[in-house]
Amino acid sequence: MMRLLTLYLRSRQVPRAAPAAVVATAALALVGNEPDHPLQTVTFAVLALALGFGVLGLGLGGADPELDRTGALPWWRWRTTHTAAIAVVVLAAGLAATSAPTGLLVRDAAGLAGLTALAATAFGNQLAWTLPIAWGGVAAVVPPVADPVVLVVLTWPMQPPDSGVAAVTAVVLACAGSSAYAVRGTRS
Amino acid sequence: MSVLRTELRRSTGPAAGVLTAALGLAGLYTLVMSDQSELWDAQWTLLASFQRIMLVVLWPLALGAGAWQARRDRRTNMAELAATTPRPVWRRALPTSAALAIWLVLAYLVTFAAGAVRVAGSTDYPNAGWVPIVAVGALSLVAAGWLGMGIGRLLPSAHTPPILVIAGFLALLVPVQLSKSAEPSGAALLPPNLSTTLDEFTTIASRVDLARAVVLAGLAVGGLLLVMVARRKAAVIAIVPVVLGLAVAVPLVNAAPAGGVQADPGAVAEVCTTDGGPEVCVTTAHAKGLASLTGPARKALTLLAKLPNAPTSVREVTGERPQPAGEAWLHSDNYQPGRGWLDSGDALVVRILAGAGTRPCDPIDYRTRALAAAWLFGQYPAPGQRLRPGEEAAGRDAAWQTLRALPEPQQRQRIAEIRTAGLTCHGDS
Repeated sequence: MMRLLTLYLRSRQVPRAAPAAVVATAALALVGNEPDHPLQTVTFAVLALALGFGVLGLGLGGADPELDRTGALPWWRWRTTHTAAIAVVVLAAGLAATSAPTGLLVRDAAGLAGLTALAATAFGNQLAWTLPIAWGGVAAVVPPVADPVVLVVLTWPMQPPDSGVAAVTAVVLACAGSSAYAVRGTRS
Repeated sequence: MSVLRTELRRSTGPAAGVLTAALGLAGLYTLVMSDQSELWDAQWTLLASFQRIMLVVLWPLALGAGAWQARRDRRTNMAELAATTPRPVWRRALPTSAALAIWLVLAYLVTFAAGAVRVAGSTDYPNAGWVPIVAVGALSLVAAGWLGMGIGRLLPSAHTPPILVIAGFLALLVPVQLSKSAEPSGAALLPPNLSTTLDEFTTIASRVDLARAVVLAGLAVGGLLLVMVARRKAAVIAIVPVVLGLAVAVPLVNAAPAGGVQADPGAVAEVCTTDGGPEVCVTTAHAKGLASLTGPARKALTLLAKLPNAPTSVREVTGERPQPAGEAWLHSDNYQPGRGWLDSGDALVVRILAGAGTRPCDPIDYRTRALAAAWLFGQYPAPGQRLRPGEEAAGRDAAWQTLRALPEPQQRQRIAEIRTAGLTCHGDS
């Protein structure tokens, strides 16, 4: 089991990508962390989380997805664990580096992890960065308005932590992304 | 040419173009949905500059698209095979770069055209001031795409595109964040995106947009050089156009007005009645409002004639300049392009009579302005003036009673004083 895990992690480039992602996320969140400017702090925190997922998204697939599939493994468990693991790693880096509200970071990490998994399923692991970075980045630079509901959904990563609509959006993205990825894996 | 045709269909170009156009359209029409479309549909320059605001989203994504495109050879394990062909690198790179640029420019223009449909229906002021604004915006996307391709070729890692997109967001965001306290000036004006909306009397200072165009051209050429050089060592040459562009642009923006905007002389120019009656003028940007203003304005002038210092013309004004005694002024905020004056008929007359035909002056004394209008109109409350019951309404009623308790000549004297005080106002509100 240990050997299998080692091989899996190596095939997903985790030994190099994970430290890089943690450092990048923490550094970016820390640069923008100014408790006097909550909006700036949250903006940088969202960009930092998106960057973390952008880097780790590549690891959602290996060099040869077709070959992976021939392995007699319960792949859905590996994939679900992997999605949850990148969410936890990026979230931990964010929590350590920024004073943005914890509820917001947890929600955004869950939703962006789902988007990463969704992009990996739809476009392949090399493009897994597209959805979390595009959506997170766009939300970070657009003013987070409180209505209409469509705009709350579009800017969900930047909404205040008590926003119900944003929380529901994040949960839906997390569930849809992780389950799609668990069932299908990366596009080959 | 056939290679270009293939690249136009098969490279990252189509996806980047469709995404750019889709995001641009979404940006324009979410404002329509949330009933804020007057931020861009009132005038051509407003649409063009709103597109420039949206570059804060489009520019970093174009950067990422370029970086993704640059990895194609490596991704498909073609790099070595391509290196063995006797064709020079730039011959292979040029059609790909051109295809990306064509798609990005097309997407930018499509977004403008989609907005133009609404602007054409509501603007009063057809002018060509939008052309340079759109051109610089489109150039900025080309620069982003080529720069992304260049950096992607220089650093052909799978992690380059996402990191580059985040770097792009930061590059556009940080100057805005830094300028939150004051208006951006100097080098903070150089990013291609605008950070605030304009109004229909303001346009981007041409000097600032020229400086931006020079910087963007430098970035585009630098990016293209990175894509086309044969050896990595030669890539240093790409710094030259970038530095040259900055060297030309920085002195230009340093001498520019703060905020990088200036009044649009064509938009504030007056359009006046020519039928020989008392003169009524509006700004060119609100030219379609002249017909519906003339009647109420002339009625206001006859009512104002009760005063010893009566004006002889009505003018819609914006900006700051001293008001001549012979003019009654109506602030341009009373008009919305495409929708018309905020009131019509007698209510519009009362708007002109507010403050006895003077503009609102900071701090705005609404009560005095309303009393002057009501006295001149000869009815209290005058049309369009009704307040909800409350402290302000009670205070205004009491002030009206005090005014009416005076003998008639003193009332007239009091209103004339309000007009004189309004004329000496020097601030705009």
